[in-house]
Amino acid sequence: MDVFQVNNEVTFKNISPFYQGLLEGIEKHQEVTLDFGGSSRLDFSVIQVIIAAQKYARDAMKTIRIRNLKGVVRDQLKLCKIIR
Amino acid sequence: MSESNNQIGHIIGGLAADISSIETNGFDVLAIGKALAFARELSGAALAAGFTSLSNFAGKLAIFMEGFDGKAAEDLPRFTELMKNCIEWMRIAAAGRSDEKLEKTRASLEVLLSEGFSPADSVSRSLKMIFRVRVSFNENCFSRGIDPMLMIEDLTKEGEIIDLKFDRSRLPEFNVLNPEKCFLGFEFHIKTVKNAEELSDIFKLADRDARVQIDDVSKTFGGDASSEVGYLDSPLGEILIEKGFLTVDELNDVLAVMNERNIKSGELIVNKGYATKTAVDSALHEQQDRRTKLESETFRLEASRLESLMNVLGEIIIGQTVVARVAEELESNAAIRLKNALQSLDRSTRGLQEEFMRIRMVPVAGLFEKLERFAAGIASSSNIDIEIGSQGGGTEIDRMIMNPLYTALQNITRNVITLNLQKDVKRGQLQLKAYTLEGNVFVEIVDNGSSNWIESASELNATFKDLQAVHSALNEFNGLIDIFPGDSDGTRYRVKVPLSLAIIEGMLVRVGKERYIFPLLSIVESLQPKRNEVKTIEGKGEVILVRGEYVSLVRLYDLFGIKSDITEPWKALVMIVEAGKQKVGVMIDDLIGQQQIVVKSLQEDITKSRAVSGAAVLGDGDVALIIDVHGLVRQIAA
Repeated sequence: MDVFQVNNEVTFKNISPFYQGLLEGIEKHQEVTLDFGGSSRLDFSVIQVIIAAQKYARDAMKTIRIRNLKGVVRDQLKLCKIIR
Repeated sequence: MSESNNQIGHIIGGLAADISSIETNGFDVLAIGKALAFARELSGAALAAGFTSLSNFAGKLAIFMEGFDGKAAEDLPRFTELMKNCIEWMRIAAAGRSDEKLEKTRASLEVLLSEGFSPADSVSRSLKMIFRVRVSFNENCFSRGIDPMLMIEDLTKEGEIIDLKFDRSRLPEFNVLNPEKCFLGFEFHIKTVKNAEELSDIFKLADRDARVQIDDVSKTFGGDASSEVGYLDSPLGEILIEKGFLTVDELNDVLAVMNERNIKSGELIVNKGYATKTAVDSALHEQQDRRTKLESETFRLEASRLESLMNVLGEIIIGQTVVARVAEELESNAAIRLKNALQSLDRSTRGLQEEFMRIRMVPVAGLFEKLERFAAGIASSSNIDIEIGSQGGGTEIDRMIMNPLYTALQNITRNVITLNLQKDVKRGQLQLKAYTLEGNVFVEIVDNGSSNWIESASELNATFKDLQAVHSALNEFNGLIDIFPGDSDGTRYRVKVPLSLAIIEGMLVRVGKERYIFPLLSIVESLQPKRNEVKTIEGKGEVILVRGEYVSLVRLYDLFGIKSDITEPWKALVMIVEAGKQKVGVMIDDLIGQQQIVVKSLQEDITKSRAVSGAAVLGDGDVALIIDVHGLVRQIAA
């Protein structure tokens, strides 16, 4: 299992390293976890990466777990139907 | 009691019934709207019957009601009490009584009415609208500092977002995704007191980067947002997408297979491993629940029953026109009263007609969605990547047109994709557009894929395998197709359909012994040109000068091969009509007047002229042709 920290540094300005890491993580592991503990807000580039990653992982019969959600980030992911 | 007194009594009775309903059931926008209409009608009817004071009073009552929004529950008893006092006064005034005491009551009631309750627009502002918002972004929008998430969050502050869905059709697979570019679009319904313009303000900063389509779907939604007919009657695939079990791409894949094989969608979704059997079963239950809810909240009306009701209304309007014509020939006080009563009857039949039209009109959004699914299905099975977008889904058309129009558009779409396939176009764009112009609805399919190689309409016609099927479908309702090959936006297939198949507002004109009808919406003005304003210009033919602009002149008697009383344009009347951006001056002998026209379709063998859209029975039983101004302009240009 691999854990990816999604903090306030992850925005469209430096989305590529996050994306690259997540792609490698999904390819290597059966399960990856996104930890939103250090994030107070997500921009659309992050949402896009998560949505695309979810489908990619599902097609490969793998799992993406989400943890440490709070406040705005939880609302954003709910609004975008990434979590229920 | 005279007929006009009877009529006033009926209107006051209707108003009283509405106020009583508000008193019993609480504030209701529809009831207050009806009461308002009664007050306005009463004002007109009282004036026509010579009750000036009653007419003024009803006018003030209407203004007062416009300002009452019922927001504060404590206002309601005061409102209904005042209304009941007003109604009582109006009943006495309508009975012809007039004394000092009654005048005092009127004066004090008018003071109360003039005080009002709240701002005049509060009734309309209290109505929540439901809009469907579709947004897609320029791929490079992130680098220009645009964050669509901010827009979604801003929208949540403007109202209640009902169902946010992402458009993943442009989103590449994750392993080949360029995360610095934006491929994700979104679509949702929002219940809000804001108007479309106010909502679009949210996207103003991203003017260059966001393609926004906002459609008012309030009519198809009903009171409870979740009771939208389309939503309730969702196909299984849409429910699974909504619940996150299925993606749009997966649904398109399923639809493509279903086009080829007779297999149930749920079975296919499970077989392909897109969703589990439990998820599909749960979606099937949800679908059944929604259908049950739909059946309990709506009732079905056979299209033929609606059609026969419209025919009866058509006969009433024709009968009314006959009576109006007879009234014109009478010369007595009774004739004046008859004309006044007819005016009032005219208002009621127009109201009835509007209600019928509202039942018949449906937004094209549903048809677009069906067509998008159809196109995505055949594109997918043909291995063509086609991006499909739509604009103007809120444009409404007569539901009687819906099926043949869909058949025509389906044939066009199939042909467009076949053409793309033949020319080895692997990635294309289809844009569906709908808009209303001069009493017609235009639906366009714009194809960007094959536009690079198609050069002429004749070439396109030659390659169009199902063109005859399109013509047959369109002939059912006087529709027309025009093809504009390879302009800068792509090849445009434009289908024109009449806004209504039933009743239109028309202007009756005379040329010689014949009469013709022009749709009122197409008429710009009528004038009598001076002799020196009529010229013949090479390549343009006969023109008239209208405020510095040359406008082509059409001699209607020439066009239809009939005799006219007047052959010199400077002695005749010229009616300027407009189709698109093109104006044409039509030479006529006389304007007869404006009236409601019950449209009757013509058999194809009666006329093949593009300038005629139908016929109507006039008050004296004669038949007049209805001019299709758009067709007229195209016929002249041809």
